Amino acid sequence: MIASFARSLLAGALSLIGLVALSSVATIASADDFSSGDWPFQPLARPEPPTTQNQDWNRTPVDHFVLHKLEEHKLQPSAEASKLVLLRRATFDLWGLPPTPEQQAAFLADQSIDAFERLIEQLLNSPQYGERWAQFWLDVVRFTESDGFKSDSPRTTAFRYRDYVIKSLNDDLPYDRFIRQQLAGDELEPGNAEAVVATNFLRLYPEDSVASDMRQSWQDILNDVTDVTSLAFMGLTVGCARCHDHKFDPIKQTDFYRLQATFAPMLPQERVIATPPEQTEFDRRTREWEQATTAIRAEMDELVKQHRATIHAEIAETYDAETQAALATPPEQRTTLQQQLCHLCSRYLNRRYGRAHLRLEAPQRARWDELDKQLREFDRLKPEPLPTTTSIVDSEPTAPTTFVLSTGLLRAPNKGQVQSGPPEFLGGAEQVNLVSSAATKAGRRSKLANWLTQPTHPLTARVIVNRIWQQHIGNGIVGTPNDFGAMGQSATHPQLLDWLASELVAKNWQLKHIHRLILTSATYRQSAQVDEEHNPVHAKAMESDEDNKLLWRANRRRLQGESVRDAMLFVAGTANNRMFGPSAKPDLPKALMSSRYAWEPDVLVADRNRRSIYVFVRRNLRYPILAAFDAPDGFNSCAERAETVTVPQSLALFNSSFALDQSREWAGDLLKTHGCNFRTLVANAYSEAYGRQAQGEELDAGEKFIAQQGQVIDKDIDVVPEAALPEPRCNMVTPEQAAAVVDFCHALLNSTEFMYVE
Amino acid sequence: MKRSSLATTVHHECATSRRDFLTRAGAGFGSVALAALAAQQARASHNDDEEDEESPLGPKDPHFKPGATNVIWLFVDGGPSAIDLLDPKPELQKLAGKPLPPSFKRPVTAMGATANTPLLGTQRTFRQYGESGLWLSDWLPHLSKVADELCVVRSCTADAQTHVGAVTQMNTGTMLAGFPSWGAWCLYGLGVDSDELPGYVVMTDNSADPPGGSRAWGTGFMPAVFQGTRLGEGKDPILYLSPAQSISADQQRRKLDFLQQLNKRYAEKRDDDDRLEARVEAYELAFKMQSSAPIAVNIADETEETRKLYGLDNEVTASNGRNCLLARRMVERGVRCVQVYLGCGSLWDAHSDLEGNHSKLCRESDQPVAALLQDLKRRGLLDTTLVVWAGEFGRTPMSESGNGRDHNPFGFSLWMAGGGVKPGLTFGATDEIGLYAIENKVHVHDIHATILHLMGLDHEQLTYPHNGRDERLTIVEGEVMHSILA
Repeated sequence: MIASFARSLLAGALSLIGLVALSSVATIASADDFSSGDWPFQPLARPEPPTTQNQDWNRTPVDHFVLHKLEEHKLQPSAEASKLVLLRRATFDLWGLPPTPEQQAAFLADQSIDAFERLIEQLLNSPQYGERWAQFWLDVVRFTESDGFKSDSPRTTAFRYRDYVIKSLNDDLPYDRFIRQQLAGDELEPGNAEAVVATNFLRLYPEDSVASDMRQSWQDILNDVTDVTSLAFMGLTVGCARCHDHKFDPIKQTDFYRLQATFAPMLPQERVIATPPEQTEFDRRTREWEQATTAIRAEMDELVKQHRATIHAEIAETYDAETQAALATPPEQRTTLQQQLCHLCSRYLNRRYGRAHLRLEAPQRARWDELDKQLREFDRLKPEPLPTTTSIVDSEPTAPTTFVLSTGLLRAPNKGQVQSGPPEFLGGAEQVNLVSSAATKAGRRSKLANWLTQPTHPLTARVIVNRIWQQHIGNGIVGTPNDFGAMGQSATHPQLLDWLASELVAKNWQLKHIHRLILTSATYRQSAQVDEEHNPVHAKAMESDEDNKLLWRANRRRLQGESVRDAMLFVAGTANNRMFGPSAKPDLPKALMSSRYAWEPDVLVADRNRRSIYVFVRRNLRYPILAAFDAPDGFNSCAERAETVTVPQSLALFNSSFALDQSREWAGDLLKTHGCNFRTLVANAYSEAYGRQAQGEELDAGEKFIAQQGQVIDKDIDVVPEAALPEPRCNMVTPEQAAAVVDFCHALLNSTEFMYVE
Repeated sequence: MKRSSLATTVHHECATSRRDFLTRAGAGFGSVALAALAAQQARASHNDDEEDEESPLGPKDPHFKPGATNVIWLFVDGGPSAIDLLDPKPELQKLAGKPLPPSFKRPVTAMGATANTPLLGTQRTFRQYGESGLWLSDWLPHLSKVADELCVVRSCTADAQTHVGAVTQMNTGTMLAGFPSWGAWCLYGLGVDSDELPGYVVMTDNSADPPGGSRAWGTGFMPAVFQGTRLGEGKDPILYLSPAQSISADQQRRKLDFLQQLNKRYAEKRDDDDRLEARVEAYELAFKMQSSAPIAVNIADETEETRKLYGLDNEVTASNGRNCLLARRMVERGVRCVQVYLGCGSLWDAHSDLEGNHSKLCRESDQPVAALLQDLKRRGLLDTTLVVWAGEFGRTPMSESGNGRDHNPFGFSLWMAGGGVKPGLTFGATDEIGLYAIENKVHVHDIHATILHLMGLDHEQLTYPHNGRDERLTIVEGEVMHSILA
């Protein structure tokens, strides 16, 4: 009954292609065929790669598992893809960029037997690897740089977490340490600034700074953090257990709240990033300024004191009772929960306090303004603020009690207290040494992090290798990377997943090792081409496994939005490769500029043209070109991007000034090099955009288009406007021809081949 | 209406048999999107009805025979005061100036103190209108002429105290961000029926955003293809709709022809992959929309009489008039879901000077809204178009700042008209002063369940798998208001 409608919708969508009926897929994909029951919850074992009949095909142990399964189903792997196809595939997979003509020439020239292995090594060891691969993790943790909700205030230091992820991947930081730093870097590596930045993972939740029921807001935050932690590291959907025991997985409602208790003492804290001498100098200068301005500030404070108290009272009464009590408690006497509630109120209160002087009567106001002017004269003494990072610490003195909430409702009678600890069905109950007592808060997050990163943990390694597999191959071994439970898809190759997971643990949790194993495999090197008509092997495979669950070929994939944009910048030669730091703010279409969430674009075009990983991520206004190409919403953990084909995508690429500008820049480059030799110009454009040589008829068609389009423009337009001409100008061809080259480039940047990878 | 118990509502029974569905869904996002696109495409290319019915590309069949095929939701942004518009309270007049009697439970209100402030009587005059004798206040002189079309529900409740949460819940079922809006659910369930415009369109009467911004018409965890499109003003109502001015029409068409030549060549060699053909279609449709969408939003061809009806000749009513008229044009062109924000940006939020605030907003919206109902009716569209007038909550009988009212999610009114609802009906009731809903209480989930039902969708069947749950618009609750169905 449930979902039958959605099922028919999907069935309709598929059968309309006339290729497959749902039932034929079901014969392959039924649960029993591949794995049973709670396999992912069993301790990690290391299976031996199976023997295969065909011994010649295998390159890495990965292939043994894949080929074994294919042979079981009487299928054969596809032929290896051509060198240039592999180069393009690997470069997009690891860098998110197209290979340059130089890279193509070098790779074609390299006849050595391990040319591809060395290519992979080179790609993995470049900074572009981290810039591409950080995105999948940022999707999982629903990274954004703003609060969400009405004000959607920017989080000006959130970029440090994005940079941390890029650096960690480039440094091949062991994944177990990557987890420990994010969950408890403040406790486990207190001297390491990067580890402190990593705790931002726990501060990515949406927050309503003008909410009135702050007690509920805090509970929502804890629920959100509990959900995302579980989804990200364990691939477990504990969200259902917020209200009741999970219907299909062995997750009890108490498990949800035991996990939540881990975060009960946490408190966000803005921390300075500075060396001791920088800090000393800052303190010294601050003292100087303070001493010089003591009297002025005291008088100003005195003037607005009463109004501040009034403002406080006005705002305080709008909050829920617990928050009101917290605000009424002297700061040093506040319980941990009260500190958390006051923290949630603090931003709005401070903003309103800052406007207290607006309420002064005229004479006092004049005095206040005069004092303010005087104070500003001392600004030269005031040091520049030191850079800070948001981080998470555990608040003193004791952890708030965590209750099991009936049907998730905060204020309904609860079902009793729980202590912090991991889910019982994963062995949490026996791991007594990992469980904190209820009263002491210390180290709950460290304990969770240590428990998650035990070498024998059933889920941690399985979940991350599955994510990597999914990014490279197109489908996860478990097709629902955020759901390893019974509601998720069953694994297609559970033994392979276990083997990869055990490899990860054995090789010091280093992710690049997993990339190598996957990318250098024969499985990865297969062609994506299907030829049902002439190839009986394909015909048979299409009949029994049209969805390619058994991996008898490579999957053709659409580029993610970030890669679409980056590839355009890169081909056009406009990409700014500067790494790290505050986010880039690209141009917005005029229609969006009236939105309260619109940003002021960077002044310099070069700053706007940084790679997409550095584009400002605002919850309430996603950069429209990325949004059109299925960027996640920033509220939900996203394990797998949708790959839609839509009209807004076509409009964005065909009509946006961004796409047109890149076409003009690219055309300018091509014309500078090739002048009016349109045939070589077309050839080079093909090579840059598609990573392959153009065929004769393609060169003909390109040349013909440029010639004819030049005539059309000549006929329609008296003087070709600047905005349609290449950048830089080219005086070897007529303006009409130059504009036609822009159109040619624009068409290539819009083309299917440009944004699909085989 | 009785609230269903949370504990007994199982929201993913028979899930074990769903592995295969999820198998499809997990890999099939592209296919879902394709289906919606394909629906557009079917309308674009096949006008033969018979072919349409057979083609799985066509719009999706509903679960059962629908009361309406289109919805226009007039979103009264900020919380209109039911007790001054739709729900007369003589007892409140007697108690005006006195504190809330002790017999009433003291509510937690957004502005805290208003639980203790004196009750504020209405300055409006209520009268019964039409054959149905429906009660309306003198703030709604135009609407009173079509009173017999209305079905007023006086017993609505919501969960959120403040605007963002409440607007989000009224549009997506939950106060939290990240969930699909009601229109996204309709498109997911029913597909798209217009090749000139997106299937779900949003208009605002000024450039402000509603609280929470575009999440009110977003898709949350669903693919972006189901989201609402906010129409901008001028000749570029849809983002990136117009080609650059530096490009002539012929030039644009020939560039597209060359692009399509490239795309077809690529797709033909890979006929196993339907997405590639869909991309060719998406560009054709985009090109078509470039010329048809501006025509769809161009009201120049409307008669003088129609323009007057909507109040386009008066600057007070012109903005809402234009949006209401466009809403009708959208419905005519097959747009399934239209949302029109009246007073966008919480303008109805009358914490003080209720009289001034609501007088102005009613002057701006009353005539256009009434005109919409009249115009739909005379064109025979009202039978298949559900019109909903509702904000995120109502306002308290207790005063705020002496002459304003606080948020009231405990008992407020909305009205519906047209497609499948009983006309001239008043359903549900609040207490003597309009503070709490007491009779036939309906929650936001029930409102959503009813709208989906009228569109031919069963809110319990219309589910979308996300992170291990079958999510629905009504979360785990919702009962259809059967008493208001025609």
